[in-house]
Amino acid sequence: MSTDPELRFQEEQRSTRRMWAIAACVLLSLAASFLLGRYPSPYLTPPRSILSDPLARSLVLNLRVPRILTACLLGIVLSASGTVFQLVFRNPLVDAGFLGISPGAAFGASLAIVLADGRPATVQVSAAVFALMGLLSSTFLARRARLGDWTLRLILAGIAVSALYTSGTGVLKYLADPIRQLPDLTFWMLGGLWAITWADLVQILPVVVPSLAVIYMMRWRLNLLSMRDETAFSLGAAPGRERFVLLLAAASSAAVLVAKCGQVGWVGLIIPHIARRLFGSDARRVVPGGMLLGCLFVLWCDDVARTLLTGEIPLGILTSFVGAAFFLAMLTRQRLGAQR
Amino acid sequence: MSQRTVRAVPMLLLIVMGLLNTGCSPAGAAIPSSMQSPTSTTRPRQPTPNATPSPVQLPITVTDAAGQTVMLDEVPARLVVVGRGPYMGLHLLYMFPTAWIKLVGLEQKGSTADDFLPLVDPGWTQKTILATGPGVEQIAALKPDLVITKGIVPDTLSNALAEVNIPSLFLSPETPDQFYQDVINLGVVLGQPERAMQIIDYYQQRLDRIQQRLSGIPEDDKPDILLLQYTERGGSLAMNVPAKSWMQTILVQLAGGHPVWLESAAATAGWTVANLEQIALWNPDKILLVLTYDMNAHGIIAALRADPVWSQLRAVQNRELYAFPLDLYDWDSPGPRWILGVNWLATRLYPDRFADIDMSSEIYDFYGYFYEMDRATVNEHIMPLVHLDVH
Repeated sequence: MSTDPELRFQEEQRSTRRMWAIAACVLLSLAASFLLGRYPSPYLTPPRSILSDPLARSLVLNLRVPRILTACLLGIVLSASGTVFQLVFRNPLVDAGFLGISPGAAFGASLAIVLADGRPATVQVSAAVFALMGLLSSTFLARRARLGDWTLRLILAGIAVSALYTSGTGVLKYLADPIRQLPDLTFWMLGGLWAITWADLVQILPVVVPSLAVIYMMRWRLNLLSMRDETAFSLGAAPGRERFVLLLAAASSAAVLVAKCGQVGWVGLIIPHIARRLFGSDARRVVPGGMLLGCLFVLWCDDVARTLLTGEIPLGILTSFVGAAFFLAMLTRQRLGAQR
Repeated sequence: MSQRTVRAVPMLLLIVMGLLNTGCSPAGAAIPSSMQSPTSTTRPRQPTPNATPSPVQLPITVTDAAGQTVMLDEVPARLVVVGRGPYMGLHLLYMFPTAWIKLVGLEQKGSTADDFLPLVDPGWTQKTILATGPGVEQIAALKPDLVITKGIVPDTLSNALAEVNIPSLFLSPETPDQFYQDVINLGVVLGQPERAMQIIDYYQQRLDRIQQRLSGIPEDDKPDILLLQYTERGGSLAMNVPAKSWMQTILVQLAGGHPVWLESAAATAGWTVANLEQIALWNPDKILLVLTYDMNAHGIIAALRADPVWSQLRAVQNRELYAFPLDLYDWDSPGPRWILGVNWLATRLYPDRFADIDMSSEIYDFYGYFYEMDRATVNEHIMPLVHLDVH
């Protein structure tokens, strides 16, 4: 960002306008999403059919609405947690899969499917438990390691824990019954919102809402936490404690949503980058901007996933493909640089 | 972001949508013409055996499901069964009584090696059970003359076995045509071609019976059928529809139904999730639910009938929501029991035309003829699991 006050003011104005524009996009997309589906005809649901057809009304209110709201929450949470991880670890290539959260959730879900009864509640609880264990394991290992500063230790611990969980998941896939268990496992790994109900949405709100509130309210502290510990401390921050609170909020909200929706990749990695390009490097804008962008991205992907074909397209495939395409585009840009 | 990038992204999206719609087979190989998807505009295809097997001549030469030419100097005395879905090959193999003694080992997939064959074969405990994913050395230790596996493309295991001169025979009973061909191949390989023809005759007689009784029914008058695989994950909100080329789709057609997912479903090679909106859009005349034997069929059907959305579907309102019967193994999937599935389905789609068919008798005939199970054994182990009228 420019040091000239006049230029900085103009940039902030532009950034604010973009924020409002994206917020408007989100609202319009939400409204449009309620009218997109397969019934009573593919793609567009005429509004009058919602009023006149009881089945259409039931499908919209009981299926589409909770699913759309969950898609929005998923995008918001993954983006917010990705932003937190990237700023806290000062590494632009980290997301929820980094601290053992997503690999832990995948392992927990696999364990429930292969070795337990495989019921949705069991899978979700197991996934959430192991996702949080991934975070705790990484933190515990980071405290015990004696190599570099805390950030580096946490990164290395996260890699090790993720690798352990990933290999465990591989073993479970190997043991899974190919007829009865492996398809369930595969679908969970690819992510999808087709089984979301109002009850599922209500279950995740008690964790997600406070976590997002913490991240939003502490977003300006992320600017300090993205600096070295000595610098942050000299500016009045308590880096260890604040970092822990933010990481816990990010990890727990991500764990709960991954447990419900399966693995949905690349959102937490790509959206913060796009948010920084649009809103600058100030976390006070990047966090809410990223939340809006993440909401929009996952909402659009889920609309395609449930509407385009007769069969559901796994959400993780769409987010990964689009995310990877954007990432490639960003890598190959001539003018590549991150604003500090 | 450059304009080129902005233009490229929608193109990339279109490409991936096209790829998803086209799909590809799991092994990446071209699907043989016998497996090409039936369409609703064609009449149900009756399977026809490609050749009448001649008396065994040595060396034995067959072309298996993977297109390999398998040459054997003599009738194999030691058999091992491995690979995906081993029960399909095993149960097919056991339709030839001499195979019971020749089978020396098999791969275990899942929690048990097999739930059915211990009831049939008194020598079952003598078989060597290999853990999941056996290697060449583990298989070679059993000194097999032939390894039987499932697939349409030679895999790394069969290639490795060939290096130590252990031949592999691929089976792929995914369609009735392929089932017949596998039966013929096994008959030739086991030196029992006449038994193979008896098996095929048994199946063909029943298919001919169905076709004769359904002849003259216009395609447009055939009921719309939706076959769904119920899973705990999807519950009442989303279920799986089978691939176009799969046995489940073919069974519906052979029984005189019109599979509603046929025209619009993507040509994937696996189950595809269909959400409740799509199910409501299809709104078929009859819905068949494929369950596993450990699921409570009555409870699931009752819950769906009471569901506020499901209760508005035509099939549910007309009490045409059925649990597809099964016993220890499915009646809808590839494996010898598909003939029971198609028979049952015909009696439910056209009860007036098949009122004389007693499915209980069909079950006794099937297990007695192919597996030498007497009625008492069938009554003890099979019939308690069969629910013919859960709807």
